[in-house]
Amino acid sequence: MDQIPFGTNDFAENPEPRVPCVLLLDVSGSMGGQPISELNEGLTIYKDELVADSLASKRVEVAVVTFGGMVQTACDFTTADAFYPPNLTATGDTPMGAAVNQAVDMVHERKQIYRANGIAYYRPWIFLITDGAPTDEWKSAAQRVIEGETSKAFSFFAVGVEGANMDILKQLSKREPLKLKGLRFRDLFQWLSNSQQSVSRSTPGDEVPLQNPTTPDGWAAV
Amino acid sequence: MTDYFDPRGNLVRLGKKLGSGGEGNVFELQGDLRLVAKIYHRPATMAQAEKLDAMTTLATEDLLRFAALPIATLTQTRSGPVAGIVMPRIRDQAEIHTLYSPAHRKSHYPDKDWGFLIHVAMNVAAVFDSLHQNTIVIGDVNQGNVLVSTRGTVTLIDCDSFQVSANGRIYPCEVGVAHFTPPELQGQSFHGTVRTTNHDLFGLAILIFHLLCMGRHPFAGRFTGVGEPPPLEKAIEQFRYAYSRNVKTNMLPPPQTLMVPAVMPALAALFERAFTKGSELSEARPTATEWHVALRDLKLQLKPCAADLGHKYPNYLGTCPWCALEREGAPNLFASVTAHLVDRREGELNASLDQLWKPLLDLRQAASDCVLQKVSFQNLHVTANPIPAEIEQNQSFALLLGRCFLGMLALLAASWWFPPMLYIATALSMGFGIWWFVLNRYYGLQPEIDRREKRLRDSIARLRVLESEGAKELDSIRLAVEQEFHRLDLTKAEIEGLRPRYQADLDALNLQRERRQLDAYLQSHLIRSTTISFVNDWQKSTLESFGIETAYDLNEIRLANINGLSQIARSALLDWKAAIQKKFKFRPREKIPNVDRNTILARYLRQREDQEQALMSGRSSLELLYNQLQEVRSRYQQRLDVAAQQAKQAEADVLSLPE
Ligand SMILES: Nc1ncnc2c1ncn2[C@@H]1O[C@H](COP(=O)(O)OP(=O)(O)OP(=O)(O)O)[C@@H](O)[C@H]1O
Ligand SMILES: [Mg+2]
Repeated sequence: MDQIPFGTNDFAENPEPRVPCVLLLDVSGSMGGQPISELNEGLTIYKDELVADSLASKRVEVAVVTFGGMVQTACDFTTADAFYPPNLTATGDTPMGAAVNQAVDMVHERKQIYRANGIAYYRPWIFLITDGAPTDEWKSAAQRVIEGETSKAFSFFAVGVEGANMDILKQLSKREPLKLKGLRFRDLFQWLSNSQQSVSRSTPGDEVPLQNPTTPDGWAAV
Repeated sequence: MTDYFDPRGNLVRLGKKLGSGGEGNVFELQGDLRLVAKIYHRPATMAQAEKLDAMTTLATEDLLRFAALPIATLTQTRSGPVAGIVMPRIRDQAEIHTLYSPAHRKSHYPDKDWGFLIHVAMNVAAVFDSLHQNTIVIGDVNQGNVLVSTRGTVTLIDCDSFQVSANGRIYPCEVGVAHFTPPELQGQSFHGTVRTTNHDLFGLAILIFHLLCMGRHPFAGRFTGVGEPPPLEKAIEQFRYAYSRNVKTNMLPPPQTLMVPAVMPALAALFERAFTKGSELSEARPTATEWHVALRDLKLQLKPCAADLGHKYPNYLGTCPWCALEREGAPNLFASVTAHLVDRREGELNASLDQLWKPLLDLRQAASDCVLQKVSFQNLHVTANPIPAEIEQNQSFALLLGRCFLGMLALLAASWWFPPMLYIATALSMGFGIWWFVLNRYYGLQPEIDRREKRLRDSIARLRVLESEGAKELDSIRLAVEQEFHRLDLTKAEIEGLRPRYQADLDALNLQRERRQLDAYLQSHLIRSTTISFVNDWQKSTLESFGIETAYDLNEIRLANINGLSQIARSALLDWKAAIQKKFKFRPREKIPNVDRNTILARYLRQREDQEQALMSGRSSLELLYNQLQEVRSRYQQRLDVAAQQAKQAEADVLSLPE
């Protein structure tokens, strides 16, 4: 019996250009308690916002990679309607280096798939959220991020939650890392989905002027 | 804040917010449901205000049916700068990408087939045509500014960006979306650029391509050149139309897409003119009217696909291109149409077959009743043929001769006393004897008896032969009837099995969904990218060399085969898998969607239809056989009747013979 694929993940059913985005989420032990539950809440808002936008729901593709004790692909690339935010739990150390490497690999593979299928795409996003410092080797990962940013292979954003080692984040990303005010994960994800909605309406390849999150009532500080 | 003034100084009150965009927010007007107001984020500049004023003079009744043009400007104070505009409200229409995207179409427009998409493309062309007739250039053609109703009518919004000519000057359109921007304008600033209808016609061709080709972009293909594939806007700039038949663009159509030149040659020629080099020259691209004509022709040539209710395709094609895509592995792009057509027709799978079946049963019964009737002699009335007079005469003469013979014998005895008479008596008695014998034997009753008895025997034999021949011939036809009936009985059983099979497919689909969700979930957990205590990188490489890469691949049997893996590592891996599996939650929200259920239903309904057709044609072949049966029977029955009459006659003839 042949199967009919569901949702908007099938390229024949949904050939819209894609905005791939890897969420690289720190779920190490230190995130336990309120931070992780705010993070989970934020993810749900993120999904709902994307689904509500009929164009972004076809264009934005999310993948979630978590690191806490180990690196896990909690969710592979999918359009928003089939994105079910995983219920994250916090445990273990912070293998951030391995996680970044994995995200870079995933982005690379995804682009190959788009090409083979004649699907246009926007510059991929890697969006890192952490409240600590890597417990594994991270220098080589930082090197790959810089290279990727320079060759415009992807855009890398780093967000530090209270307790994050901002110095290392500065070395890890070419862009200035942002510091989350308090636990405003919901605002962060609201901003993320808004930004991606405008990206999904722009031209692939264009630099999109994003809304500045570091305004006084924004969620971030530099 | 919510009060504005129109140019005549009337107060305009805003109501609920309806939408927002990069340039402004759109609100209901209190007290007038047919109008809306767009309030700009920033008040209009003098130049913009002049343009908006010019536009309000262009908004004729006719054009307003096609485009939500500004009909008045709004100011915040009676003499302040222009803060917004009033325009007709567009109701119950959705952005055109929700129609051309198959994924959205199946939920937003589940009943719309390719004919509808072509129809909408015609309407889009009509809108472009009427604006171009009025020297308006749309400029910012894109997937969000074109709205479509469920009846297929099309309206443009965001019209304040149109490029218009008035007061002897041109008010330009300063925005655009790259996917809809022609090669000659790619990478260029829109500020101060004068747009032409030829530019618009590129956007129109893109919209039509989107509608006809399931949301594909004509410049998104598989790059066959060297190096990185160009991004979409570069591909446009370099005229890399992926579906070109004539021009080598180093861009091939993506997998599972329509073969545009073969499926719609007339439109393909227009697409070539719109997208390949040379199209940038003045007035080179097909006009809205040309598109309209070609689309109408295509629509008139559509025919339904015999295999799938939801498919329509041009009648000059031998096979259905949508079915062909499915064979290539694409999903059914009109599954929802098929599904819509069969929605709630599940009952038809159960419908009683009695009405179809009864005539078949009757025919079979009639055929088995169709036998030769036993001839009954009782009712046959015959009169025995009299014995011919000649024979009677011979018979009496023979009696006379017999007597003479006896007389001669007496004479012979008397010749004892008178020996000379012996000779005469002997001669005479022999003479009479022989005469008598000959007459009796050959011209008397005996031969008649023999003849009549033989005739009786013969006629009875003939009767038997006829009976058995007829029965044999009838039997062979009845056997054919039985065989045909048996075949139909199987068909009937199959029809009756469709409903349970449909149910089983649904159950399987449900089960599969849970299983596949779990499998996909486990497969998304890579061992390589996970830190698992007691499992080092070297061991991970070993696992990989055994094809064990994700949680999904882990099980005791497979691990047992791997040397050099400690017991502790083995159980760590299995524990890890168990922990992951525990976190898996089946998402029952993803119950079988209507579309998918109906797609299966459509398949079964089609089978049922085919098989009912088989029953129907089975009925006519049974009827044919039955007619043949009757014809053979009546032929034999007639011959039997004749033969029986003859036999009865023969019998009477025998019985009438004297002892
Ligand atoms: N005439 C109308 N009737 C009903 N709703 C409308 C109308 N015009 C606009 N809208 C709604 O308001 C939204 C914004 O309108 P519009 O696109 O004109 O704004 P904009 O600021 O020019 O947007 P953009 O950023 O696309 O240029 C539309 O997406 C639509 O939902
Ligand atoms: Mg606009």
